[in-house]
Amino acid sequence: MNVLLHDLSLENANHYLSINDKSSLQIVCMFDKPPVKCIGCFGCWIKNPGECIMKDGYNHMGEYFGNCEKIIIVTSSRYGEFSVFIKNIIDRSISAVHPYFVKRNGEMHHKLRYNNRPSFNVICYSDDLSVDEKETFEERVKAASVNLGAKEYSVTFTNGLKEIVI
Amino acid sequence: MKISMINGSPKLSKSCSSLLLEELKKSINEKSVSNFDITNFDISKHALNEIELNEVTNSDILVVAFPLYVDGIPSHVLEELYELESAFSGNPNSRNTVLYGIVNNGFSESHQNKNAAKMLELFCKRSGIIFGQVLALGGGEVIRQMLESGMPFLTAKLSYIKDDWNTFVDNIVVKRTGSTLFCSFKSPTWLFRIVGNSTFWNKNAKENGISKKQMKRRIISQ
Repeated sequence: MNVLLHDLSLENANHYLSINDKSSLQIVCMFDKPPVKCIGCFGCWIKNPGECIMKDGYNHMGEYFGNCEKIIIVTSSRYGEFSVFIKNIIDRSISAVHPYFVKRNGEMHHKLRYNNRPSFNVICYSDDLSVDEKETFEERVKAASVNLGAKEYSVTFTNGLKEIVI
Repeated sequence: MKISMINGSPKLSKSCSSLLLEELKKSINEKSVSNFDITNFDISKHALNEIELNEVTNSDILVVAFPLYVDGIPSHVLEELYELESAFSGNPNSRNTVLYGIVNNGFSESHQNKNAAKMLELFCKRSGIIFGQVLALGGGEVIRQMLESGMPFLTAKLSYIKDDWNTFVDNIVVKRTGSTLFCSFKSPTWLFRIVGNSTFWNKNAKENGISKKQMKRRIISQ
């Protein structure tokens, strides 16, 4: 299974996303009902381990990340951060890891819950990013990939919406 | 001088961010000779309304405090920054507003806040306001627990913050800018790990009726 997160409108998704094999793809997107924001309750760690306690349909993100081979994110960006929707989903994904602290790559991280190591591929379509924003965005994608236990990561800037083949 | 402080913690109860902003208010009032008009805003339940946005964007100083979320900004804070950017960009009076940030994370290492600090700087660039400084703190949960227990601020286990805190406050009261202050919790990593894992995570899980075995739960998708 692969996971595709994107923040495109229905119209833009139909126009720009070309998906080769939908059958093995878990798609999480913003034209479903909007997700609840994370409330920092730690419920996904110490009340219902592995799953967010807010049952809005976006409560399985940790499970998806823990069972997939590839995480693909299509996002706009500002300030070097993901878009609000994508960041919301990622905030709700921390059940993919344990709360426990471990040392990894010489610094502290959360212990990984699952054995699989997906690749973490991010496609950013914003066309107004400064050099600083691009650099910061690459750094933050790298950091997130390490925290989520990805085996590798990639960042692609398309400088505008163009056809994206998944 | 007008200061707006935004608590960006998503928690509805007392958080590290909210407690630090309370201490910041006290510190500013102790250090300054002039009167500061300080207003606190909490965006955990709802975004700033139009009146609040107007008040914030007409402030001399804006302080934003939030916990690090997956190496970045919590999404509700990010959404608020988008609104603030529009409001600041449309307000010619806000060119001299200076932003200060307090970012805390649960690890002991403060350097993991560096990308979030940079994001605040990039927000300032887009918004046309002045980037002041970020105080990047490790040991966020320790700070919260110690402050909630009534420990006097900047003493004992919280003394590691003292020097950087004083520098931060000194800069705020004169609207001085500076590079990010990185303040890591002073403890061997192995000790921080052991204490955190046993006395916080396992203890809290047990209080919720969750065993160590249940903590290890994996959900296998079909």
